[in-house]
Amino acid sequence: MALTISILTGSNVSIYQQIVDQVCAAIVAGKVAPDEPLPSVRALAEELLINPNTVGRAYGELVREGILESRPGRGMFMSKRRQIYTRAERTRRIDQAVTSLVSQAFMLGFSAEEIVEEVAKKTTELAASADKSPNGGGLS
Amino acid sequence: MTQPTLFVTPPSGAFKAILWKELRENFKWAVAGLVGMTAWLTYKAQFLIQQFQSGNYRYNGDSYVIFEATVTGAALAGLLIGLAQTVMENRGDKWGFLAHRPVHRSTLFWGKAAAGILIYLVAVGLPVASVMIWMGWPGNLPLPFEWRIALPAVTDFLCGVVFYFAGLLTGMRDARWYASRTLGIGAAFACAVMETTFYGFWPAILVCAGGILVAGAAARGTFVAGGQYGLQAKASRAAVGLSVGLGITVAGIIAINIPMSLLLEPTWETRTTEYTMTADGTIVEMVYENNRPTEVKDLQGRPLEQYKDPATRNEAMTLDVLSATLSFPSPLPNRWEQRYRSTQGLFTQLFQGGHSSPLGPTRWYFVNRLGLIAAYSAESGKLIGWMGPDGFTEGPVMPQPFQGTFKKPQGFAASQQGPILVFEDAVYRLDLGQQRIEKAFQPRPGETILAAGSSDENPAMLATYGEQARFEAVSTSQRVVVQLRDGTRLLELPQDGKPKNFYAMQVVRPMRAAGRPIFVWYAASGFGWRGSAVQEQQITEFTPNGTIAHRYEIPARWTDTGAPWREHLAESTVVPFGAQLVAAVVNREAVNRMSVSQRIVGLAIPLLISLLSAAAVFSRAKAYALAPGQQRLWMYLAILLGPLVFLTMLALLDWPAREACPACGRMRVVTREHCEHCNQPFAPPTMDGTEIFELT
Amino acid sequence: MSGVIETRALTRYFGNRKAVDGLTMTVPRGSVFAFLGRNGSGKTTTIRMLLGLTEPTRGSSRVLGYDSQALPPDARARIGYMSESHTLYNWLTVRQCGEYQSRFYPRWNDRIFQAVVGHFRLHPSAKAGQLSRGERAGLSLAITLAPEPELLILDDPALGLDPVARRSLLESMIYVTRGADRTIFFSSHLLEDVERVADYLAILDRSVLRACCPIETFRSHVKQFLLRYGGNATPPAQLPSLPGLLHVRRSRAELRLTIAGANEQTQRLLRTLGADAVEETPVGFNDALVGYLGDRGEQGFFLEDTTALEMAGNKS
Repeated sequence: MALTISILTGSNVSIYQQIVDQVCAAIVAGKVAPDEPLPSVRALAEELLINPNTVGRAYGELVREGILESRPGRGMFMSKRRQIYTRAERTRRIDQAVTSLVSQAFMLGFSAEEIVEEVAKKTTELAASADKSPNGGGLS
Repeated sequence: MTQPTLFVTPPSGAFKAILWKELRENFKWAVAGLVGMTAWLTYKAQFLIQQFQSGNYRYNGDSYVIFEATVTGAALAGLLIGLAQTVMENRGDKWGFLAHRPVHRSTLFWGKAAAGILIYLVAVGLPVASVMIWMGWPGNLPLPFEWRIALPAVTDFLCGVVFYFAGLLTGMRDARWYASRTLGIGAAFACAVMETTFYGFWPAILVCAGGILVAGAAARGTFVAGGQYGLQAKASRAAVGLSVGLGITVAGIIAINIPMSLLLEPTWETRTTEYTMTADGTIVEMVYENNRPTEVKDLQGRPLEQYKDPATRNEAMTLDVLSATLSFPSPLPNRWEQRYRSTQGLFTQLFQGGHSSPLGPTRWYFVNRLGLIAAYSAESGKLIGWMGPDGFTEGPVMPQPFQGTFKKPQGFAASQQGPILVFEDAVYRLDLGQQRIEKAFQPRPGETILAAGSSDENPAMLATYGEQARFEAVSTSQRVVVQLRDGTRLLELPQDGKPKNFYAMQVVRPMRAAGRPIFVWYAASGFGWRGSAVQEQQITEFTPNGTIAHRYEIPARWTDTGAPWREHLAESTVVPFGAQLVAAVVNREAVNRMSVSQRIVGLAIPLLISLLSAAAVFSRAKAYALAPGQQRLWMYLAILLGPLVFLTMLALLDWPAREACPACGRMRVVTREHCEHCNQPFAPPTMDGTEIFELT
Repeated sequence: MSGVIETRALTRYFGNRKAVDGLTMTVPRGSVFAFLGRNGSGKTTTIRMLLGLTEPTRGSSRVLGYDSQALPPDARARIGYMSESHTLYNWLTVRQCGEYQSRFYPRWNDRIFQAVVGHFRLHPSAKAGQLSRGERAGLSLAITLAPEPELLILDDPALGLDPVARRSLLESMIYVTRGADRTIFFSSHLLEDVERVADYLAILDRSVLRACCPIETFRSHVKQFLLRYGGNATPPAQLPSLPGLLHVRRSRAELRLTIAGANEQTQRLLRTLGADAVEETPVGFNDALVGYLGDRGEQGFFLEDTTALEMAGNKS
């Protein structure tokens, strides 16, 4: 399993949010496949040295969002279905990411053309690596 | 804290675990105590040996120096062991580590106590027992040892246990000032005073047992409550209160004595009067100022010219006046002598030749129980032999004992024993140096001997007057006989019953007086406590052939007119009202000697002081919102026992802080939820808007 | 609502000074409950009162359903307590410490004792007095955990421990949470560890309880706002009274306000302060707590305005 989670204390982001974010990031980076088992609440808590309730909350939220599913008697797994967000929700999320990207790029002094060029380059690059990964990427 | 019973069966491991831990932790004190006590007792034992071996020591039987060490050592050891077991663990995290365990606090306490007593046994019991055995072992001391002599060791040992519990109490008790922490030792101190002054052994044991109960209950209650007074059960509180109260009383007595002794000079006069006989046969009155003779007067009170000059007021005045002294023991058994701390009731040391000549190599004792005289070698401490009415035998086998009741010489007569041994059935003459005994006087059938005495052995007198210088006097139920050593009767008088009213009789022979009269001189007992008193005396002068020449009577004189005001006032202030009442009832005769104004003042002042104390006690109790029952109890105690109750209350109770009530503005104690005046609760702490309270 | 620990207006005076004032809180069963506050705010006193080692001046507390001042032995068998100073009997060896303690507890799991002792690498025949600080903590922890207590009360357990020992302590605490019914009540200054391991927290500020809530609630309640002043505008010299204001840091062009429980009204108030922009910035747990525990109002360690100093430095 290629899922590695590490947490930072003292961060502005709460620990449970860090876990949620890292699981999502792992999905995006193609590091985990559907149906892959995750460490149990207790195992992860003891590994990260945090309260199991925190792990439980993170897992709970991920289950609610459909990213994980709990199979009785067998533990926590990556869910098969990935897409549970409504179109509107997905649009909202991507809009948020793009806004952040573009405003940051403007602040750094890039022009609009340079930004679009950079985005296109990156898209091609990531698509290629997703094709290559055994999990087939997260875009389906 | 509520404990259901005094003893609760703990899980079997717990008590033993605590016991083991306490022993292991405090073992070092056992060793230290053992070493210290042994060293101290050894030092005292050496001293004792020296005393008995030295030829100058007259053993009066009152008490042995060893017992100074046993009582003080036991007390100190007990106290220190008790403190050591509590002082380190009484608060903070150390207390937490001890007390947070699945055992009743009571079990913890008994574990500590058991360990402490064991340590005390080693530190004190072993050395003291060893010393007692050493004392009794034949050959160590030239003394007819009986096991009864070791009894003070038992009471001193028990007294030390009281100090042990007092030490536990002191170590545990919450107290605001260091001085008041030590007040818990009061009960133990009172116990020590009582057991060393009580006459009887069993009363002393009872006192120690009582002390152990009180101090033990106080220590246990305080330990279980974690140091606070208010949380304990009634019985425990009473025990702690008694301990602290006694402590304050002791401290008070000591504190008061200092100014009192400065304030009150002794009121007995430095001027004393004595009657004596001069060389020429005149009875004179000698006035002493600060123990030095200043005046010599005749019986009519006229100063005598020839003795005005200090140079003549010396031994030349009483030159060649010989006397034999007899004392009449009181018919009641002498409780002072029978005290368990004294051996006066067991044996009497016999010595010859006056109280300044050395004793020689042998120590002689008349042993009451055996009716024989024992002889010990001062050097080796071994028994040499026994002297009975038939003579001296060497070796351990005992001869026939004396049959009649021994008439022990009393008071000053004891120091002028001469060679006489008096029994109800015979009078003997002793020559201890030659180990000889002979009968000096045999009474008639039906006649009992009351007392006898002989003149001193004085070589100078012998040389000058020969056999006339050695005479003896015997007072019997029928007659008074004065005879020379060789048997010549000088006087024989019928018994006139004076021994009932007089405690001593002297036969006085002024050898230089014209006609060599013989005086039979009786003196009464009863020295006054205050002022100088003159005993009543009755003197009869006889001519050498037995006719009465003259009778003299000197009446008793008291200069005591009752308590002087300064002392009276001081006593009234210091002694609590309750005690004054009891004293007035018990000692009516002292009250009768006072004037009316003295009696009124004597009760009014303590009553006033008591009422003031009661007022102070009551107002403080009320201000600090004590329960009404408590308020009344302390008030009644204060009326009886005065200011010491106020001090005890201050030192004993936990006094909470007081704050102004937010509702009514008056001062209220912080320990109650609702104000004692307006019944409003305390306000919750003020919020500042940043609070976050939520429980999901 | 019955918690494993409940207090009601628990108060303790030392002389005239209040060490704990009207403390009312409930510790839920099964939680990991952090008890926070500055040094001297009354935490140790509270813990001693909870365990019946000290008597409260006023108020009461119950632990495992029993009045703290009358805890029966079976209740004490279910409460594990470790004090700040990791008290032990110095003359006992490690093994003897375990044997001694085991005689008091009806349930003693020697495997746990051995495991913790082994984990801290303690030699069974080393005397407790010769151990280092961290080793003592390990031994103290071993004897506290071996009876498998339902409730663990730890007073500043990581005080003076090196990072490795601290980690071991954390691991033990997580290990304890394996038992669903087992509660941990602990005080600490190590906020990272608190953040990792605590569900709930309570904050004692100068003898008064100011917060008692889940840790997430606390985080979400403490917010930091950044007010920027551009151009010639400067932050107002005097601030109006803002409810829940914890901390103010000002510089020439900025005001950084830490506020507890900011709501709509607060936001409106902030907008009246004449700033160009009012921005809510995220706060880490550490900063939130320090802000919460520090003196309320406008304070800072640096006495002069930093920018004023810099300006002066530039001139020279």
